Amino acid sequence: MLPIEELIIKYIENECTVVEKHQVEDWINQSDENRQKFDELRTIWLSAKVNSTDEETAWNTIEKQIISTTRPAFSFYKIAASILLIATIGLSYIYFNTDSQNYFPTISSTVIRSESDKKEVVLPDGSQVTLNKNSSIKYNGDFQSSRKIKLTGEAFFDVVRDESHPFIITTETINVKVLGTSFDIKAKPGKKASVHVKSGVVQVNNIIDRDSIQVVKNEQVVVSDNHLVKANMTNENAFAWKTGIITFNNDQFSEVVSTLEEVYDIEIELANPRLSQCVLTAKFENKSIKEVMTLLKEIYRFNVSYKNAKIIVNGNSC
Amino acid sequence: MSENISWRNIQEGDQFAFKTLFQSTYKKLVLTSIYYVENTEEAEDIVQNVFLNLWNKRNKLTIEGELIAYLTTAVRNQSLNVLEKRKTKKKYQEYLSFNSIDTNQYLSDPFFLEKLQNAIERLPEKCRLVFIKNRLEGMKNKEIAEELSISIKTVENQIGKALHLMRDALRDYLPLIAMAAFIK
Repeated sequence: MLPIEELIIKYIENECTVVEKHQVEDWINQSDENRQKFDELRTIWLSAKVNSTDEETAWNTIEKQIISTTRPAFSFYKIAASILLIATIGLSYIYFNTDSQNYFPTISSTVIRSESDKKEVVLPDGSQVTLNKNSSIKYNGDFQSSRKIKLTGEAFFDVVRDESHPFIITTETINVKVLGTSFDIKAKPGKKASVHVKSGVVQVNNIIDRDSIQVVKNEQVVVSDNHLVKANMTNENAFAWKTGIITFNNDQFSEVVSTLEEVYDIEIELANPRLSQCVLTAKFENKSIKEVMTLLKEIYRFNVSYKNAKIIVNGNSC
Repeated sequence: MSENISWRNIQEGDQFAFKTLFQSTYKKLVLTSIYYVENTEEAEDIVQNVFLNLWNKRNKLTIEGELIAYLTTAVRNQSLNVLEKRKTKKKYQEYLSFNSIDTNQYLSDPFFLEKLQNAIERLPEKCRLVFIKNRLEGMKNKEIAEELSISIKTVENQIGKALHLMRDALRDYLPLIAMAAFIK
């Protein structure tokens, strides 16, 4: 028989064999003294774990939820530095599931998932993440000694600065390294990976060809044919899902449609191809897609119909 | 400490008072919960939920007596609810649901966690290292064994030894909880 301490640990942690379980229970029942000892060992074992919890981190989680009930959505512009990353993660689920053990050889992992709605998360280091719907992040261990995250879907990050522990987000094709900034990651299946930087400096690494590029304010990097290509930032609606603000400035309708599809995660069809030549200048703040469509309908006298989660826009011209 | 925090301040929406209450009682309450649920993550969730409920219902809630007493009871009840829903329970956990034993005597000692920390620090080098990796850093025994190039058996021995030594060091601070013969 193992020393009783070892057995009791296995018993508490549910790792006992049937035989061992009986050994422990028999031992406990042998005497009051044993029962007392069991309770003391159990108390110490469980309490030791509590020393690794951190009330500061726990408070951040709570505070987020308290504030969201008393204050409107957090102001994007308060954040000093931010980037946006759009990354292709078509196979990320498979990648996560098969490779994760090798990639992070130690410790348990945590997966946080949003479903049909956005979700706000505070990471153990205090960094804040807003997950867009149907997205998930995963990290291993306590996140203190190593700040590495894998992402599927789309998320906005507000990272606490800690230069000795770089914050690294991995997607299927690229990883992004930041020392402390805010940024937004889009990682939807079937889309080209790209990083948009609002301010600050971010390093983007191409996992495939090991190329590495620094991206600064108002620049973007797109992964094209497995290569990183840097350019000035063109998509001013890159953060729209997070901020709720969509701006069009003499944009062609083909552009407008793809932005709306992106932000609202819907499909829009222009029944008459000539409509894609139309031009729109507008600013929408916290509008639902129906409200947006109603406004467009009024301005351009379109016909708008809804068929199976698809929006069909028809009309002669602008 | 919580005694100095007025419930009225919190009712009026004083977030600082609420934060002070949270930070001064959080670990204690996690200890209370973990005694039942045996799982830190669940215990933390339970305590955080209790605080969120407290905040959301603050206008409708009259609390007589000390806040810590209210919180401890709320945490205990929620922990028991969680335990109730579990498919597999250990016999003593069923016992805990039916018997209101004062599990929190050791919690009334504000220095209990500090003493526990001291006991960990006074462990022999290897013992301490293994214990910290397992208990505080959450590593699996297999991973510890690989990292330190020792056998899993040795890791288990060292953790058992650590627990044994810590009990010796802490015995005087632990209450006499004469549990009944609950496992029969």
